[in-house]
Amino acid sequence: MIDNKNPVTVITGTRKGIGKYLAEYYHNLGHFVIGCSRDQASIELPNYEHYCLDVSDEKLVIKMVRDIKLKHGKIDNLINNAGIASMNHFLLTPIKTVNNIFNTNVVGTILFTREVAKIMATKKSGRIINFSTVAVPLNLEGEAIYASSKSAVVSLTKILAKELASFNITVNAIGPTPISTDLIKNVPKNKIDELLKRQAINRFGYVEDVSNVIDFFLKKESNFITGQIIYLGGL
Amino acid sequence: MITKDKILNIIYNSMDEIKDMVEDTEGKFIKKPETFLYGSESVLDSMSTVALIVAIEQKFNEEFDKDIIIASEKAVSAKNSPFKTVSSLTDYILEISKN
Repeated sequence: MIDNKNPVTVITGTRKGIGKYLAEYYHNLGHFVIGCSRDQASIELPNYEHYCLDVSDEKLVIKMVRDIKLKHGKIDNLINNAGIASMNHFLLTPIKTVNNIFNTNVVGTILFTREVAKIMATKKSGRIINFSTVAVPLNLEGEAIYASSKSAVVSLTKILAKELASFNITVNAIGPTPISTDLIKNVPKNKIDELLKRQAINRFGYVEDVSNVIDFFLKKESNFITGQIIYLGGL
Repeated sequence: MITKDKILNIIYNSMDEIKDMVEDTEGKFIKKPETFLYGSESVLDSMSTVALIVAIEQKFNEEFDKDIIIASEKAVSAKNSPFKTVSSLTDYILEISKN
């Protein structure tokens, strides 16, 4: 077993976008980072390990988490970043898209949280960060399925905060605004502009805005902060 | 090879691991097959039940290098809960470990 005095942080969806940034960011802060994605890793760092899997594949998620437990003996932080979006009029939404979005955004979050929280529970300590979106409070047209899946993540966050509190595990979520990543590359510019206008601060989010909120949730002193959803941009 | 005795041993070790979480003023949380783990006669509350199941799953995996999920839909909805006693839980784990 690796003797890790530094935090062990699991981040899902680390091949690109916010997940890749967070993996490199926490690695550079001294965390041992374990990431995953459906495809091969795009990160090569000494204290980074990668698993290729679909986050909604129960058997593979269980195997990954057990593997981490055997190698590292603990998991301090879980960042459920993996997510997919799809913008479409509800009447034109294929059920395959619905299943894909819910499998990644909801089932993936549930599976990782369940398995990692079991490891955290034995240590009576842990931080879980989920990803929601501003599309939830804004009830954005064209994002019925994506926002519904992220609403589920909000409910999960609030309820799991209660169920896991006695194990000293906090569960919080961040709701990012649009950030220039692949996730929104197909969203029309006028839609993005309309969305930005509805924020108190009318700009794109930056990945640093995301890590700033996560830093707060992970802080040792944040052990009394749980079940909270922090939306960026002022909603 | 997965045997009933080995599973019983895993359950006993898991009971040892979580005993500090259990309020057992009457000394009912004893390592024997008849001990109640679930229902009105059990001394376990919801948190210690969760902790016990998690401990058993992890020890099972470590001993046999095989993953099991004890709290399946079948187990949770069964008329006669397989979690009722140490003995019934042993039989149940032996059964699901064959799959």
